Amino acid sequence: MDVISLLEDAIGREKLLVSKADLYAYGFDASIHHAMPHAVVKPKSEEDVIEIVRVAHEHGIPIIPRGSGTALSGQAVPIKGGIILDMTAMNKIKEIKIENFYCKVEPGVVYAELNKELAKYGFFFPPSPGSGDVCTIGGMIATNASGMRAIKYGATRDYVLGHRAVFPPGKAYQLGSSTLKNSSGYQIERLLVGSEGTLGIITEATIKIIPLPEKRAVALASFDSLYDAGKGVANIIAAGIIPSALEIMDKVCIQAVNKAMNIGLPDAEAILIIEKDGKEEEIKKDIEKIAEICRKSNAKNVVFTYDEKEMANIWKGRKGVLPSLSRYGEDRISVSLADDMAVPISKIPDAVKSFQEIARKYDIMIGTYGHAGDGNLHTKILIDPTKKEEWEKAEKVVDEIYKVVYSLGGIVSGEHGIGISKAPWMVKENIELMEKIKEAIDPKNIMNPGKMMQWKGSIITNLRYR
Amino acid sequence: MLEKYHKEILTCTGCAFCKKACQIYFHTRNETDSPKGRIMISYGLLTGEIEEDESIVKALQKCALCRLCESVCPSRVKIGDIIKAARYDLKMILPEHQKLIDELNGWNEEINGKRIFIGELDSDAKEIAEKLNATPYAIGCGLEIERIGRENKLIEKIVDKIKKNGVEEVIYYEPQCKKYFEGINAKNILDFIESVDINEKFTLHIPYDYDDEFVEKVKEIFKGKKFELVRECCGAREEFKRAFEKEAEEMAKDIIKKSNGKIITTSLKCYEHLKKYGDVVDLLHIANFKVK
Repeated sequence: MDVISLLEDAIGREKLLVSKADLYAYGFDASIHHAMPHAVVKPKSEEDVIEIVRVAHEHGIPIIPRGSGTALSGQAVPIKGGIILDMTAMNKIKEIKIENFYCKVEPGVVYAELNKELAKYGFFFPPSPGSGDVCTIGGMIATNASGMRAIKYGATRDYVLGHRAVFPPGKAYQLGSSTLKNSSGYQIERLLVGSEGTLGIITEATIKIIPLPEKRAVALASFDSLYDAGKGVANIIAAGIIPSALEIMDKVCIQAVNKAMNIGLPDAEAILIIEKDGKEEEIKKDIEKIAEICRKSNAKNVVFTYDEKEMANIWKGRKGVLPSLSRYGEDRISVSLADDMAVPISKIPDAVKSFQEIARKYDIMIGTYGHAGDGNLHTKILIDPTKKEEWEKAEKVVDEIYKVVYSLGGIVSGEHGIGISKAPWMVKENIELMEKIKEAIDPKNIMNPGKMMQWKGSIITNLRYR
Repeated sequence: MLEKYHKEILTCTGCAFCKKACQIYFHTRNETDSPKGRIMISYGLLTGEIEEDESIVKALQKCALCRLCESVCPSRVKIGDIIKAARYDLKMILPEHQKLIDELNGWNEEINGKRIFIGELDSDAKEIAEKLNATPYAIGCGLEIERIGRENKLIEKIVDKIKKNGVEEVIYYEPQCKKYFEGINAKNILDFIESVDINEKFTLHIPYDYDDEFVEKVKEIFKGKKFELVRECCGAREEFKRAFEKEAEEMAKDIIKKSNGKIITTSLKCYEHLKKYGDVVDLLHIANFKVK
């Protein structure tokens, strides 16, 4: 029996998508990769998920769970074919318990839609990934997503109190709890955080929520050198101030955003965007202190604002860096490679300086930006993706970048995850234990096979560009 | 035609921000129904990775070309142009679309009168045309045919007859019709509106692909009035409505649900569609005209 017939028998025809258009469209996420699945399923309940896993386990069919398909490293690309499990039809907010600081949601709930609901109670779920308007909670957990507010509020993992999940051969478990504290054995719910669909499928998540801050202010500091901007970051943190966001953008990114989005960011070698939230008096004091530190770190200009519209405009520019870079080069576009390293905060200046040197060495354009305040940087490489030699050069650049990252005590991914695009640079020491866990939970290797520690080849594979 | 958009398609990073603006994706949450999905399918056709079949045709046609997705695309990808180009390259056509094209291209009435009003007009709007001393013609400019991705023979006929029969002035409503009347004395009907009769708070609906000049003129007409602006697509476009009736209905109901009180729409097409589901009027029905 083929995959489609097996699924039809298990959950019926109406939750299946099998047309040529569906199979092709579901073969993409936001990475450089593409592959076609054999079928797409949109489960509507945990029972559906159990049935699908049971059938897939019995017949050895790969399952690739996905939310909105915003993963940047190929996590949702079905490189071994199989079943794409589109979780977006499970999108109910089941419970909001303000008095207990949690909410229960299905995995397909969109991050921004959850926060819109929570805002009615004066609460929020803080990680704020750049794709927050479209990404799902399930996807955020599976990649341990975070964003610009991680410096103060942490990443998704810090808010996962528990969840229900289905594992091979087709059984659901309640993991973790609905309590803020839990010291009751292995924290297995944490094991699924960042697991990229390689272990199980989350069917319900219990998420910690916190009150919204009273006020926000944003400072915008421009610098004549990227290195000085990096020093500014380290100096702010060293002064004991914890901003709610501390972002860096280099000249390439500034120009790209101004060109694509007409935001009007200052013309500088680098800028820092620093947000402080909390009580009004506290913000006022801290934002002025931050401005002073920036000036002492050679900022040529510092402005700050409390105006919601102005702040929204600045953040719009920052969130638009990634796609705007695609509009920057005349014949080059931005591709997601080496885009998400994390280094110790004090090493930010060295990291950005090294990336610039690598760009010069290979005569390649690299845009550097990111959540400098928590040591998480993004680099985007601009190439002509239709040329093989450009990919070969890009792969060498990625290798050099990661060597620098490791030499500075950093790590391959801060918030996007591994998938395929970062697999060769994972920490080798972790791989053996990860493989043992994977084998114990998924002995037939049906859960998103070939990803993370299982990817052994070059990253220039299954390219979506022709 | 798609070849022209190769670089434009590559510019799409696949970030999927476009999904948040797409009324069609909002309902199905299917990747195939998202602007990103349509771009990727166009790319597959361009590179020959996939071949056209009914599902591909439907995926590309299941878009009203409202272009609201372009407003949230940080790479400013010309999503609508890519989809339109892909449609022009399609060999197959949906039966509903073939029928519509045959109806429109088959139009062959005479156009007479010094001043004419072109638009898909209901009886009230015909009266308005008469107030403006214009002869009404209940035919559009064939925008539907172009959106489907086929040759617009209707507008060729209309323009030909306007020129041949000595029409001195053309009045139109849909701002996209403007491009067809180059070299003809043509005016948008907004130029004839003096004031509007509305005092309560309302929702103003202007399709997203109506140009800035039109939007500014409408805002000027409603200056001092209390309204909320909605740019979302209501699914009214004839070619979309005929092929995807259920989706068109859901999109209209969404606009009604989102609206704050009465809706005033600036498109006769949207009015005809939306009024089936809620309290909606067209701008022309509440306007006072400068009658010449």
